[in-house]
Amino acid sequence: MTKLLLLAHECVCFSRNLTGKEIRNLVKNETKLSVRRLDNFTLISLNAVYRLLLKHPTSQTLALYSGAEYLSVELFQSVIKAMHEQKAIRPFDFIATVGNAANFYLAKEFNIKGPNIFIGATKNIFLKNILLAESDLNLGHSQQAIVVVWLITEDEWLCHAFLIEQVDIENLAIKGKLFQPKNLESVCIDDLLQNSLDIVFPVLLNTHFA
Amino acid sequence: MSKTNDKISEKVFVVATSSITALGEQNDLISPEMFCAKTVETPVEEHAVPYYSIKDTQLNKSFSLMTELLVQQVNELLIKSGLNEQQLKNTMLFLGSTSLDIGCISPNNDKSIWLSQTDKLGQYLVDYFSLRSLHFTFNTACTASANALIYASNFIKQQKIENAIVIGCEFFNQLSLNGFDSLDLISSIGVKPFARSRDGLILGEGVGAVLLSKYAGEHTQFEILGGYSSCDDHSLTITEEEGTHIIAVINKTLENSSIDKSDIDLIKVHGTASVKSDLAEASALNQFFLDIPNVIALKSLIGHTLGACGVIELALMEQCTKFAILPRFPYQEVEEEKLELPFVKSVDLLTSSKIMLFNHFGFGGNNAALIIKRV
Repeated sequence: MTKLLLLAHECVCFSRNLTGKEIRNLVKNETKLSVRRLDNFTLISLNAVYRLLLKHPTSQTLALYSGAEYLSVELFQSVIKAMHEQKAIRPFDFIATVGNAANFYLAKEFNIKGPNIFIGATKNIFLKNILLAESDLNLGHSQQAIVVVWLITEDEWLCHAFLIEQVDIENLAIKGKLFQPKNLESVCIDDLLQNSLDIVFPVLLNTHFA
Repeated sequence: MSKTNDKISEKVFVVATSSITALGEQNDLISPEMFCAKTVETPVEEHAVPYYSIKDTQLNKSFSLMTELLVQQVNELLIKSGLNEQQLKNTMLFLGSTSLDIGCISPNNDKSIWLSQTDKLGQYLVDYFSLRSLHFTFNTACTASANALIYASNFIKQQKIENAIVIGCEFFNQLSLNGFDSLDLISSIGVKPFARSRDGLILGEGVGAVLLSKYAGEHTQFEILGGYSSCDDHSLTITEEEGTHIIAVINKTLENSSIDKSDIDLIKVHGTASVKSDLAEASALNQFFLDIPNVIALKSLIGHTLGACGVIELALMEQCTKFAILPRFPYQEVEEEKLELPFVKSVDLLTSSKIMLFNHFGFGGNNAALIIKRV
């Protein structure tokens, strides 16, 4: 019997009081990645996945699944406003509004060659993403998956990055994945996202849905 | 759709389809004359840019008009499939769109976030039809609803669900129109996929809906054998022109479908008619096939419906198959027009095709393909 195993998690948080330029500089200083002309939505995800893979390097083939309640808020709101004011849209601004633009940059920077999906979701964002990941892992489309979840509030930009893989729970000892007894119960990350993700890794994930 | 008499397997059947596009309601399209490509569309109001708008609807749509169009198409599915209330409660919605409801959003200075929630359209349909509460909204540019089809099919095959309603929708909005125009991708002469004289695409809007199920219905035409999608990180706006990534995606799709490339007898090409996108697709197909099967391109009929094209073009192909119609593409009939791929020339060749490859490529490097079998 296979289950999904959450191997690692990282989170990046920026105040929405920061300007785009300030966020760009913070991300550039930490990651040394090329961040020119990228929007906040993309920048924060690059930072989160950078931290994830820096602390938990992997040589496995990766897929990427990501989701957000809102698209890149500042970018979309500025271009919609420009449209309403009959202003011309600049080509680069339009290209940046592509729904999966952040996923493209993540794939390029972190060599993610497998499936690459961005979904819109208000509830159960993590669950939806891991269901897509599970479906592809079952088909052997990748060996591990990165899940990215953006949470945008009135005050903050938050981006969570997770590393997951599929395991045969009957062969966990063989694979050297030792569990604390409490971790044998799978967890629902969506319930934890609103608070702190105070969990011991690795942990089995709950993929049950109604 | 009855459980008792139908084949129970891990197969995925296209039980019912519906769509509304610039051609009008799919149900009305029962002759080649109604499936005829236009050359240059009427320019959009206040713009010199051509556009394929949904027939008999106003161009700028409110949220309620968007949902009205969506509800109409889902109702068509329910009429055709006979899905009952209990089955609906267990049916999962997969929606794919590029621009979602952006066309009806207005700035609001009183709020910090006035953008719509990304799954607002999907949530409306879930509530309206009392569908399964967990639903998916794919937003992967032009492959959005193709990806919705792929994952819905895989969920059925993997026995996560039994039935799925898959929607592709795209509504007129200034952002897409002005954006594509700013990139000089809009044609002024008409949509001519794979013609050497092509000069760009024309955008279109539409709603497509399909009901997928593990149970075949009485009138089922198509079975989805498999699909695959992944990201080409060559460029955010264009897939790599040699077609290398497209070939990789097609190969994986064939593997997932347990099909050999020699089995394919028709290709529904992506065929936007933009110079570089068609070049990449033609390069890929020319390298991949020793003898390229016949192809069909539908965007001269309805425009490029962006994220909706995966579902809309599947629905229109089902209609063509069901009524034995080969759509008319006048540009292909012009003798001096040089075409880069072999287009299907007779309705017999179209309807006798058993294994079809459906290609979809998009911004963000997302490339997707599906294999459809004629049942």
